[in-house]
Amino acid sequence: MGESKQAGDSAFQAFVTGRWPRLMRTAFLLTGEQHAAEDLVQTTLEQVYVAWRRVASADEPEAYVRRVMINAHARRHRRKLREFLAPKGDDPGPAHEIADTGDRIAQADDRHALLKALAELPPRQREAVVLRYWEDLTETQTAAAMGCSVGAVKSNAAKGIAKLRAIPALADMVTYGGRK
Amino acid sequence: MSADRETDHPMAQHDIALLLADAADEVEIGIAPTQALIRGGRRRKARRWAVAAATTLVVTGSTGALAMTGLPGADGGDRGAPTATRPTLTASPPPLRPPTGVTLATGTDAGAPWHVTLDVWPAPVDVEDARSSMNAMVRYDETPGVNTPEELVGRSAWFVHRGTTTKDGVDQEHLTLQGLTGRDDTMSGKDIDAVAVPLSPFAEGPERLVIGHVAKTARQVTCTWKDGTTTKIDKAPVHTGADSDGLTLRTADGSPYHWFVCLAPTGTEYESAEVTG
Repeated sequence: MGESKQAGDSAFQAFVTGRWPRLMRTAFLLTGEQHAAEDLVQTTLEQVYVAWRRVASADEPEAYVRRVMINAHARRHRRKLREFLAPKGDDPGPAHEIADTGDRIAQADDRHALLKALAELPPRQREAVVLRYWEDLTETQTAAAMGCSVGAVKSNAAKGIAKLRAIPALADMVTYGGRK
Repeated sequence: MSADRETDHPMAQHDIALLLADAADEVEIGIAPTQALIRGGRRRKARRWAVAAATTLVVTGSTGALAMTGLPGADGGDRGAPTATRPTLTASPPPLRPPTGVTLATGTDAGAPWHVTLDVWPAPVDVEDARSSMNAMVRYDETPGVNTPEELVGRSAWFVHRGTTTKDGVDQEHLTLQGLTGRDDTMSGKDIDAVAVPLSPFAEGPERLVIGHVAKTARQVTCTWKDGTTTKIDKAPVHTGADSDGLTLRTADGSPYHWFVCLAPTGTEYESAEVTG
């Protein structure tokens, strides 16, 4: 048993080491903040460890990890329904993970403009955009990760992209091929 | 322009992908804290809901012929005595108890009664059913690990509680484990998931109480303690009821597993658990 456990831990460590950079980047886009990203990845991978035996034997362990991360991200907003219903409501304080960084973002470059714009999207739209256009998943894969229908993915991604492009700074960047 | 047309535009997709890649580079990657993650995973395994006690591990079974020893004070009444499955309730939402409640084990330890129970909620068939189930679960302080009712459809939620009665007569019960099972969520062969926790839900102490589940084909589980002694748990006879004696492998309607509980003798604690039959 001890050897089996050690082997499992070694495999988990190897998996984590290999995926850590990518997971951190995805989490950063989802949360918009360094520490929130670290926290999200840590939460995700702890849950993956719990189910490691099954994850390791899965055909697509990455798909499982993505699902866990999206669930963990969504869970943080479970009690913040206001964000889902009114992303620009009159009490944005607790709604966005980077809401308290608004001043810094306003002064920052195009990266920050995008991160700010992402943060202003409702979580499901943010997840759909990040999974579709950063993770480069298909609509079906995105639906699996988000635990929703392909139609919901299409709708959330479309609305998210439309909102991003409606932001003047971002529209300029897109006009010039993605970079200023 | 409609939102759909916006995203259908290939340049829009290309541009947003570039921007996202650019923004993602902003994060400081750092070194993966693998050991911290493993420690955190082990803690999470045993206490999904902030159980105050320390935890142990998950094991994958292997064969082994181990000598059996009894539970503490086997001749003195300090042993477990599983009781019968509670009847299934069909009302939605259930008025008093979840649809299936099973007492996995009961016993006394140093004169104090203890018990381990399992609640299994049937998999909702649709979103409305899932919403009703989640509302009903709230009445029992049981919250499935999903964000929306949609995620619960087709998945059964289970919750394991352990409790003791103190010498002062105070009942203590705490949610110790919880999880979800879907149609594909089965175990086979010598697969085993086991967690060790202190017997008392709110006290530090040796991890003597072992709770776990195995494949339905399993007929025997052996718990090994750190002092080298062992406890064997066999499948319950078909007609096992409330008057049955001894710890046994238990089933619960809606659960794809056999469940077991072991209690280490006083003075030792959990070492491992294996399917041995």
